[in-house]
Amino acid sequence: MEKVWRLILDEANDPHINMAIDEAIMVCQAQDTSVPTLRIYKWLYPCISIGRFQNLDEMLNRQYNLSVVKRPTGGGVVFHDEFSFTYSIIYREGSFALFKGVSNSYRQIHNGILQGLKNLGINAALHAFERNGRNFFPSKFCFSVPGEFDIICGNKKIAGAAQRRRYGVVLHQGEVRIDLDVWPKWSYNVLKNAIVSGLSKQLEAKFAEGRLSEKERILAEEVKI
Amino acid sequence: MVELEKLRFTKTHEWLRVEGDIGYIGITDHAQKEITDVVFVELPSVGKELPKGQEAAVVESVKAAFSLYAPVSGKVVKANDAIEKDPSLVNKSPYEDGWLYALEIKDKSEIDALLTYNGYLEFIKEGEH
Repeated sequence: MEKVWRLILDEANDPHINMAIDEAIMVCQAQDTSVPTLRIYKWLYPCISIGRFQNLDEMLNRQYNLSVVKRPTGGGVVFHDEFSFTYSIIYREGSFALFKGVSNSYRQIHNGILQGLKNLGINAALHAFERNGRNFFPSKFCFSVPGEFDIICGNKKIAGAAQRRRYGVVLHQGEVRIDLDVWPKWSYNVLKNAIVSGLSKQLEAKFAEGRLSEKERILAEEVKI
Repeated sequence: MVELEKLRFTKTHEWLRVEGDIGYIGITDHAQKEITDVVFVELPSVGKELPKGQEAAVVESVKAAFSLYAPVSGKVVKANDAIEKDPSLVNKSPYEDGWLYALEIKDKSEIDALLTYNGYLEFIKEGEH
């Protein structure tokens, strides 16, 4: 049966408020005051986000004068600009049988995005990852090496994600980057609609457009770094 | 070799090994397999008071950053520096070299509320349905 999810189509925001909003939704879900959410958002200006354990802000920011924001999730360096399709999915662990297990949640979400991309004629696939028994240490740069269930087009990673799991809530932050030479074929809205419809089918979710609650908005201002 | 029957467990996949007043804490083998390769670990600082259930550490794997919680209340007396240098110890040896931190247990009666090894295995099994 289809479950109803909130769909937030956000405007372009300051990078720090973008991260704070995702965190606020996660906290409110942990307190049972929010609902499963798909949030799609843009960036007010080009910036770089880094994983919560990466200590690169000083180097990137001071030495190279880049705008850097830390994500609440793990993972590597991600570049964000007007060609980024950025989204977050926030839900309570165990509330959807479909998402059971960590790897499986990536697979389901990326399968939904893949369906959307395929509907636009993009020849993409989920990356088959061979676990060879050795520890896999990912690149510091998210898009340089595909991980298990990332989306690839040819040899290139075009979608990646990172997750935070805290107080029983999953925050999944992801980005799709289509090559610049391919991108002008579609507008952002065409890509957005295709991905939303792919996710809706794959996740058996009915998306109802909504907004942040007052509580989420206030909390986002509070947690903003 | 660790005797798993002597450990106690939580539903958030931590284990507790009690040695006198000190409790050693780590994540279970089931948890390390689920989260896959651990790449960073953030441990609580020595001296920190942790009430039971409070967020105590964060483990980041190639899949996600996971919060871990104090299985019982207590004061942090040791943190395993070796895993900060080599986080893969959490995968290679979750019950021994991959321990995370140790607490001076405040109230030993809290231990009784934790799962036994068999109870934990049952809990995992239920989750698979």
